[in-house]
Amino acid sequence: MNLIDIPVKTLDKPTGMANAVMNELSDHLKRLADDGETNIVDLMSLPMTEADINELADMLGVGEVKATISSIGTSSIRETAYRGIWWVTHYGDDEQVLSELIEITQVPDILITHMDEIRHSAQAMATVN
Amino acid sequence: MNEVELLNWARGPGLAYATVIMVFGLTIRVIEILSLGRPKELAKVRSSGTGDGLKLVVKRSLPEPRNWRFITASYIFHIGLLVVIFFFIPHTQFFRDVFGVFWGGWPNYIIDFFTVLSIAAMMYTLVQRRIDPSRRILTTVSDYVAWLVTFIPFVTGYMAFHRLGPDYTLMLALHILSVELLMIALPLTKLTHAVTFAISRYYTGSSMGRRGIKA
Amino acid sequence: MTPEENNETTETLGQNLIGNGVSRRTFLKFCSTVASAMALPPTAATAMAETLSKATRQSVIWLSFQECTGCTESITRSHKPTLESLIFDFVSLDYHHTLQAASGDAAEHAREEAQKAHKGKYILIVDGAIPVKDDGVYSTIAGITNLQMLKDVAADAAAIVSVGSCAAFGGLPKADPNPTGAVAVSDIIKDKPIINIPGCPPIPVVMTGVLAHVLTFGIPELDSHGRPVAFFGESIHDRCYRRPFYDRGLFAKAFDDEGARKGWCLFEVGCKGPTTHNACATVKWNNGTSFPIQSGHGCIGCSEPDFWDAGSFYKALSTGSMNPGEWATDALLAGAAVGVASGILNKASKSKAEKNHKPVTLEDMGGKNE
Repeated sequence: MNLIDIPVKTLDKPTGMANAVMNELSDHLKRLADDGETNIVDLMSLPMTEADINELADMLGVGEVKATISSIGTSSIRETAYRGIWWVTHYGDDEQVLSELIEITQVPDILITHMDEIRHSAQAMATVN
Repeated sequence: MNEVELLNWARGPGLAYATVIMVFGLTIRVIEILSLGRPKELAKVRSSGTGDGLKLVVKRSLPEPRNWRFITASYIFHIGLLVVIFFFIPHTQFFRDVFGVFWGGWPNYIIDFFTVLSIAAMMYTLVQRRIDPSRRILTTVSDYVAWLVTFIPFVTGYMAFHRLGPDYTLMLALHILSVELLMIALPLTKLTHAVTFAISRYYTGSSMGRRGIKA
Repeated sequence: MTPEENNETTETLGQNLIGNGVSRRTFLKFCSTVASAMALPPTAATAMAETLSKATRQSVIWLSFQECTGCTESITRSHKPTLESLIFDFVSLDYHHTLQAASGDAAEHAREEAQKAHKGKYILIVDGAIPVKDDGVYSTIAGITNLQMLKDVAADAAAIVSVGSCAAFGGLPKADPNPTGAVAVSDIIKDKPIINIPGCPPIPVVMTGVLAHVLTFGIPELDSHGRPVAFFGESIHDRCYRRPFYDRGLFAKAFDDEGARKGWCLFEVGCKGPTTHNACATVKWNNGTSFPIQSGHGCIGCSEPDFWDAGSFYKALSTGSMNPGEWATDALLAGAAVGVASGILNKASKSKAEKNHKPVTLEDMGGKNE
C-alpha cells in the first residue's frame, strides 16, 4: 500500500486565510508606497491549506516578471499583478518547498547581485582579459 | 525534579504504591465487615431477609423525593464520575492494560460534557454543605478531604485535556498524582462506600426484613 | 580542518564563501529557510546573511562522548549537498574525532591549538553523555576521561551546544540502571550558556538552524529544559496531522488493523506525542519526506528527558509503566490475609464480650434466645 492509498487527507478547502493575507499585503503595499518600507510575509508560518494558497495566488494574479535562480535547488521569483508584491518560492535540491514568501519591495533582495560578488567577478575578469 | 521525572514517577512507582494501598486497604475493609456477621436476633425471625436486602440495595440507589436539587446534583456527579472514569478513551486503555478487557470508549465531547457537569454539581454540593446548618454540623474534616480528593482529579484532568495550565506534561503528571491521592483516600475515608455501599444497604434491608420491619 | 585554518584569519565568511563557490543567493536562501523554520520575522533573513557574511568563520570544537554517532550522521548524512550541510561552510570545525582526517596525537594537538587560538570565543558542541562513576574511567579519548576533557574544553568556550538526547539529558547511557553513572553536559557544566538540541537523533535543520541563530543573533529563546522554543515549543500531538482522529475518538488498536490502515490516531498503540516537544510533525525527516507517525509508528518521545525509562513504547501514555495489575494482585492477597486475621480477632473479642454478657441479658429479658 502506498502513502497515497491511506485515506488521511489534510483539510483542503479555503478557510478564508487568503482574504486575511490580502488585507495584510494591502497594508504593507500602502506603507511601501508611502514610506518605502519593505516587508516579507512567510506563508509557511501561516496555517494555510493548499486551497488557501491557490486562492491567494488567484487573487494576486500574475505580473510581468518571472525569474528562476539555480543554487542547490531552484528558486522561483514572480511579480504579481500588484506591482511591488513578489511571490518567492525556494525549492530544495529535491523539489521540496523550503520556504514560500511574499515580499513587498521594489525588487527582492535575492535578485540583487551582492557587491562582494561583483567585486570578486571584476577581479576575475581583469585576470582573464 | 522536573515535570518529565514527575510524570515518570507518577506512571511508575507512584501508581504502583497507590494501587497497593488502595487494594490492600479495601480488601481488609470488606473482609472485616463481612466477617463481623450479624448480631443474634432476639425476636422471632420473620423471613430470610435476602429479598428485603436486595430490595434496599436498589431502593436506596433511587432518588428520594427530598431536597431534589441536592439529590440531582449528587446523581449528576456520581454518574459523571463513573462515565469519566470508565469511558474516557485514555482511561479505557488503562483498564485494558490492567484487566485485559476493553469495553469501548466514548467520544471526547461526551466526556467533556460530563466533566463540566460533574465539576459544577460537586461545587453545588460543597456550597450546600456550608449553607445548610444541619449538613454543616454533620460534615467532618474527613468529609471535606473526601470531597477535595474527588474534586481535584476532575479539575486537573479537565485542564490537561484542554491544554490549560503551564504545561501539558506537568498537568498530566498532576492529574495522575491526584488520582493516586484519591486511590489512597478510598480505604481511609467514607469514600470506601464506592465498594461497600451495596453491602451496607443489603445489611440494613435484610436485618429489617428478618424483623418484619418495612424498610 | 588543517592546522593552517586554525590560525586566526581576517578573511570574512562572505569572502570565504565566494572563494568556495557558494553564491550569495544560496546563502540568502539558506538564511530565509532558517528564519522560516525558526519562526523569526521573515525580514531577519537579510540581516542574518549580512551579519554572517561580515563575521569570521566561527571556531567550533565538537566532542563526542558516550554516543552512537547517530547525531553526526543525522547532520552530515546526505549524498548530495543540501542547504543544511552549508553550515559546515559557515564554521571552522576544528576538532571532531569522527570527521577529521587527523588521528592520534595530531588530532588532539588540533584540539589544543584551537582551544588556545580561540580561547573564550569558540563554540563547543557535545554529543553523547558523560560517565562520571569511578572518576569517569568508563569512557576515555587519548587517555583523557570524557569528564576531564569536557571540563577542560568547556572552561574556555563561549557557549555550549548539547546535540542529541545523550548530551542534553543523558539519553541511552543514563537509562536505568545506568552502569557508568552517565549524566548530561548540564549536570557538569554550570557556568556556561548551554543550548540543548535533544532528539535521537535531532532533526538536521534544527541543528543547523540553531547554529545559524547562535552565529548571528546569539543564543535563541530556550524552554525550561534548555531547548530552543522555536523548535521545541509545541508538542508533536498539537501539530500532528492525525490529531483530528484523536479528538473524534478514532484509534488504531494494532499496527495492522483497519484503524491503522485508515491512518487513525496512534495513541492506543503507545504514541508519546502528547508529552513530546519537537519539530518532527512540521519540519519532518529525510528532506521533509515523512516522520514516524506519518509512517504509522507512534512517537517514542526521544526528545524528552529519560524517555527510555518512561515505560513501553507500545503502551498508551495513560497506562502505568510498572504493571499496576500485578501489584494489585499481591495487594489483594495480602489484604485478604490481614482481613481474615483481623476478622478472627474481631470474632474472638465479640464472642468473649457476648459470653460475658449473656447470662445477665437473658435473665433480664426473661425470654429465650433462638
